[in-house]
Order: sequence, then C-alpha cells, then structure tokens
Amino acid sequence: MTDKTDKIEIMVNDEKKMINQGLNLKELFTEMDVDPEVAAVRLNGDNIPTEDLSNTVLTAGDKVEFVFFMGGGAFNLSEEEIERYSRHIILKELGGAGQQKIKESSVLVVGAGGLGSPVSYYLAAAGVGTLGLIDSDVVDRSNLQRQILHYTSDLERPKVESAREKLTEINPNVEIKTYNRLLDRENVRELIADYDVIVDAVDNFPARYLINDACVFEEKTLIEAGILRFKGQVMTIKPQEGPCYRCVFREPPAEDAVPSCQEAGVLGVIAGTIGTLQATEALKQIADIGKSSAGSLLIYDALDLSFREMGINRDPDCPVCGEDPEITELIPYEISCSIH
Amino acid sequence: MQGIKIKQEDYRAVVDYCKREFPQEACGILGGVIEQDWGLIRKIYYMSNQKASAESYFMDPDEQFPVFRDLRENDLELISIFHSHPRTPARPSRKDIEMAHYPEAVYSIISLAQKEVVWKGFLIEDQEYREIVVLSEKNFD
Repeated sequence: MTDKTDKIEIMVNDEKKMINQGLNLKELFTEMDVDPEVAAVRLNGDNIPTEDLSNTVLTAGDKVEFVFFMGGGAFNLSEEEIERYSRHIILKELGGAGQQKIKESSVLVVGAGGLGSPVSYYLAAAGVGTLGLIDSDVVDRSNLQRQILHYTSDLERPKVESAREKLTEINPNVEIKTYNRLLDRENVRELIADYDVIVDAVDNFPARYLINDACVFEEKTLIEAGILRFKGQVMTIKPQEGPCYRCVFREPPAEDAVPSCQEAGVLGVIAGTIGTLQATEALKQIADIGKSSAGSLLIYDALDLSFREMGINRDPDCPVCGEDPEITELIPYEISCSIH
Repeated sequence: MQGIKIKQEDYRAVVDYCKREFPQEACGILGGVIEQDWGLIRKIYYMSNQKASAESYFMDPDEQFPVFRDLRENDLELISIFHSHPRTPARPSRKDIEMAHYPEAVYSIISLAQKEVVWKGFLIEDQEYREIVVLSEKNFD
C-alpha cells in the first residue's frame, strides 16, 4: 500500500519540486495556486488537456511544464472617445475596461417619451455602442413638459426622428437605430433579440406586460419603470435569476382601474428622476458593477421626498417565469394608446 | 519594475515586425534581465498570432514552451509580452486585461494608429493596469 505522504521529486518548469506521492496534476496546480484553465500544460513533453489533469497522477522524475495563455485584443476606444469618456475611465470601478463594455453593448429603449428621454440621453452620452428606440407616436404639445428629447420645433414630427437628431448631436459615436412602429406580439421578440438590455419606458399596461413576457422568454435583462403624478418606481428584471414583473403584479389591472398620466397627470421631472435611475441601472448591468436592483422594487415619492426599497422574491407560481408557467407564448394585448 | 530598456536596434526591429504584420496584430515575447528595478531586453522572440486578426491576438502555446525553455537555458527572464494595436491607441483593451496572466511581466502595446508609432508598457494585475516607462537606448550594456 502506498503512503500518500511519501515525497517524490518532480520538475516543474525545470525547477525541482518535492510533492506528495499520489498527487495528480490538478492537485499540483491547486497547491501552486495556478489556474490551469488559463494555462497550457505538458507532462514529459506531451500536452495534457485540462479535463485530464485530475486523472493524471504524477510519478517520480516527471517533468511538468506550463505556460499561461497570452492573448488580447485591440483597444476599441479612439483618442476622441478616451477624452470624451475620461470621467468614466477614471472611475476605479469602471475604468477603460468598463467603458469598452459600454461601447460594445446594445440597449433597446421602448418608448421615446417621458422616461425614454432621460434614459436615451444618458445612455447615448455614456457611449452605449448601439441604442435602439421604438415609438410610433408623433410629438404633441402636451409631451413637451417632460419629454425633453423633443423641442417645440419638433411638434407633429415622429418622436424617433426627433430623438435621433438630438442623440446623434450629443454623441455621434453611438449607432442609433429607430423603429417608428408600435411594439406588438408579432415583432417584440425579434426586436429585443438583437439587444443586451431592454429599457421599458412605456406608459401603458398592455405594453408593459408584453415586454416583460417577451424578456422572460428571450432571457433579456429588463429595466422596468413607471411613473404617475408625483411617484415613480424602478425594478431590474433578470429572468431566471430574480423576479419578473408578473411575480409582483400578476395581471394587468382592469381597464380604467388605474388612470394614465393623461388622466391623472405627472410632474414632468419625475420622468427625469426615474429615467435617470433606469439609465444608471442599465449601465451598471452592462459594466457589471455595483448592487443591482434585481429582486427589489424602488419606489420614489417626490412629495414625501422618500425612496423606499421593497425586497421581492421570485414567485414559484408566477404564470410566466414560475416553475409551471401557464403563459408559454405571448398574449395578444390590445395596445390602444401609443407608447410614450 | 519601474520600466524597461530596449536597445534602439531591437526597438526598431520590433516596430518593423509590427508594421510588416499590419493590418493584423503582431505579437511576441521579450526576454532579458532585471537590474536595479529595470527590465533590460536582451532577446526578442517573434510569435505567430493564431487569431490572424486585426482586432485580437493569441499566441500558440506550442510556440511558447520552447521560448520559456530558451529563457531558462540562457538565464533570462520574461520581461515583456508585446503586441500591436494596428488601428487603436496603445492602451490595454478589455481582452488584454482579462488575459494578463503574468503580473510580473510588462505588457507592451505598440500602436500603429498614428503616423508616429507609440510604444507603451503596462503592469497588469487584478484587472487593473499601471503604465511604466519604456526607454529606447542606443546601448545599455
């Protein structure tokens, strides 16, 4: 019987090393604090695949060699971009690597209205590589009190056209893709499939549930928000990891049960407060930094000057993301009003 | 290490190699000795870029093994790992940082994006980088 504590001598990169008899290559690398996943390994001149390390037992006189992989890629920020994003790049948590992640990312903002305005302004300014905007509406005078993407001179123009102009002016490095159409059951999955993060900036429940369900099916991160009067709420939805919108609000409210902004009003700046929170959450998700609002609902009340964070668990009985979902395909909602 | 010193002729040779490989990224290893906290380059190993790409590089491990053996046999150390950025600035990319597995080595990036070639050196550890001095000298022996 072999005593595993007996020592044997091997060579590692031409240096003598005493190891316990019976040690395998994987254990040797653990002992040396070397991650074999990022290295190429040879034993007595033969390449050893990573999956074979744990079943390769070392014997006296073995010659082990390893090299770490050497590779990388081009820095994808130009000098102009380095200067433009210098206040980002200087942030320790973000740095040049985080800014590159932002540049490589794509975000779809559904709605170019109250929430969509600050979201898309800040995401464009932050240097998101591709920014998609979908809205079928034209600019109305009553929009101008909160929808800061649009100016008085834009009245009656399609919102996505007006938005494109402003966003391109802010940051010509961003590819702006616009969709002057209504989001519906037929196009939503195809549209969101091309994007990393989806931002819900709509103001009606049918669209909100359609986007939630589509994001669950496509496993897309969704930054969800809503505003009314002096209040707003934000929630980050990471399907399969945390609760979805239906885990909290199972069904859309009955028609006329909840007033719209048109009926109940909204303080314009609430769209700014909540929209910028959405943009912040989107950037954090892209750069993979900080605490995510997934699993919580952040509620802002401007009159009370209060933020309240409610912890939310995933509902195993959720009809769309639960263990035995009833909803397995998108429901044909009647989206009667435009998304903004 | 506060910086690296490379002889002018070696500097030119590496830059010429990067230009020859343009538009693809060129890569290689610089061996040498460390004296008074300076890495002195003594030997250049030109490596092939397995990716054959203008936007990324990956050295063939089968080429790396003999290089490291040669370094050991000649009492040289790994001083720097170089690669070119054909069209972008001399800064570590996200991929460069993610794949920086030799914290003791200087990661040299040679940018051909401008008319004038820019060579910068970085120490990269724990996903963070710090620029160090790269000196090209006529002779430092």
